[in-house]
This record gives sequence, structure tokens and C-alpha cells, in this order.
Amino acid sequence: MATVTEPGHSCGTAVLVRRVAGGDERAWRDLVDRNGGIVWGAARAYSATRADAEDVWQATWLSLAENLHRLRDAEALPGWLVTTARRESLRLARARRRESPAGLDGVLTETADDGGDPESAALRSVLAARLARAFSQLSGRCQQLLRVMAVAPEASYEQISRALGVPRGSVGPKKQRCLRTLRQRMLALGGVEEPEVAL
Amino acid sequence: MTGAGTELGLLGRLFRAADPTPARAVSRAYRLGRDLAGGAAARRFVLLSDSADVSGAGSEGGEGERGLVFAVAGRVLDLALVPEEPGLLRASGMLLSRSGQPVPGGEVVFRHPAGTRRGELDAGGGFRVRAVPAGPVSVLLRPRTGAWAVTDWFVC
Repeated sequence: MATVTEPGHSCGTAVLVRRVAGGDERAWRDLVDRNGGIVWGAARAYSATRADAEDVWQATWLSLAENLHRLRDAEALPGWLVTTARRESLRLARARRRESPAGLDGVLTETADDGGDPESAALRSVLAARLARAFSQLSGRCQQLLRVMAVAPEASYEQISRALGVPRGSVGPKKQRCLRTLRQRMLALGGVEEPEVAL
Repeated sequence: MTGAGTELGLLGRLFRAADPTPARAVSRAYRLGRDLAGGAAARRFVLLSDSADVSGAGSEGGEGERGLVFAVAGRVLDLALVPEEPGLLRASGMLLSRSGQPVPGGEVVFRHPAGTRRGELDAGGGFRVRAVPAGPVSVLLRPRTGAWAVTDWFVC
């Protein structure tokens, strides 16, 4: 099982949180940079569109700004952010009566306008497209779980269970089941050989 | 690395490459840091008056208008809500200093369960925001200078 968080990383986060509480703008930017991938991943996992995810993203950071003084354990910040993003997404989905996650259905069409950089070129590779298609064929719950775990690989199962609101004991089995299904979908679409080459 | 780790790693790289956080969203999050630096913490408006609380009160500014006044250290928010069409309201108002001087420039954000509606504070501290959904809202004021402040959620 993954470790909770690297000690140095959590110490750094604690220092950053104290500096932010003292009004240090640079520390806030560092917090955003350090945790942005997790927040965006969670927002996208639970939002129907990129536009919704942007609303969730901003609401999550705003909530952190409002509640920073209540944060007692800096180590718990990533989990808190994922939980908040999930709640904001579900609140938005309820309000709009849309419950379906974004998944990767549109990831190859609804992406940032990043032109022809090398990452985009890689993305267009056969395997990346196949992985995206296989992922999009997973259930919504599998997409949400794998998406969050993919962007927060250092998170423990306990953090994941709290953040996603699922029993702790079910995280590991669900992850394995979802990955097994992903492999099967990949195979059905044409194989998973040497994935490192394409990505 | 395990097989599962490899797959999650690949997915993570795919998400980062194909679906990165939009730069404009990152900029907006950064801006919150500037606001924090200005005031160190979010400040809460206190509701001073609400025309809806006055039994039998007629509207002061027009039919169906609701007036609310909020205050926070050094700032007063005078807000009017008028039905625009079924389910939607037009919000207008002014942000003043305690001495009654307008607070020019900045942003006003009406947060509601389905998202946000935004407007700009003009040179006189005034603002107007259309199509605010009726229901729970919270108003966030982000003046160009000084700390930002937010109201508690209330139903409009």
C-alpha cells in the first residue's frame, strides 16, 4: 500500500500553510502548484464538463482560503481538497441534475487548446488513444476511483476512502477490479504491449 | 513498479498531458492568494438589515425589491435584489467604506448552488449582476485594493 505522504513533503506543506495564514502570497501559489493536479483530477472525476470542473476548482480553492485557519493537520490537506472538490462537484451535479462523471469520454476532443506540443503529439499516439477509449468504457465509479488515484498516487487507501466516501476496505479490491477491467478493455481494443514506448 | 502502478502512472500522465488544469483556472486560484495576502483571511460580512425581515414592509426601491445591508470592518455592502424573470433576480448595489466613500474597482461574485454570477465594481463602487438564480446565494466582494469579504449563504 502506498505511504501516506512523504515526510518532507508534509513538513513543507505545514510550513506553506503557516506562511499562507500569515498572508504570504508566494506560499499560496506554491500550495496551488503542489496540489493543483489533485484538485483538478478530482474536479474532473466528478464533473460532467470541463466548465463545471473549473467552477468546482475555484470553489475548492475558495473554500480552502475560507477555512485555512481551521486546518489543523497539513498532512491531511490533499485529502481535504479531494473531499471538498468531490462535494462541490456533487453539489453542482445535483443542482443541474446531472450525475454522470466526465471520465475520459471527451478527453481527446474536450481538451485544452495546447496546439502541437510534444505531449499532444504523444497523446495522439495509438496507445494513448486506446487507453483513453478503454478508460471511457469503465463504469463511472471506476473512472472516478482511478482518476483520483492516478493524480494522487501517494495517497493512502484511508485518505482515498475518506475523500471519495467509500469504505476503506473496499478501495484496494475496487482498484484491482477496475484495473483488471481496464486491461481487458485494452486487450479488446488491440493490446497493451510495451505501453511505456507510446507514452 | 507493479503492473497496477504502471497503469496508474500511465493514466496519470495521460490526464496531465490531455487534460491539464486550464491556465485561466490556475490564474484565478493564484488571485485568491493575492486577496489573502491583502487581508490574511476571508472576512465575513455581518447582515445589518434585510427588508424581507420587516413584517409588512413595502419595498423601498420598487415592486418586489429586497434590500440588504451587510458590513465588515471598514466596508458596507448595500445590496438590492429585484425579480427579473421567473426564477431569476437582478442584483445591484454599492460597496462603500465606513465613511461612506465608494470603493472603486474589483469584482463581485454571487455564488449559487449551480455556479457563480460575476460583475465588476465600477468607479463609484457600484455593481449590477443579472440572472442571479433565486435560492441560496453567498456574495463575495473582491475590491481591487484591500481585503476581500464574503457573506454567509442566504436565500434570495
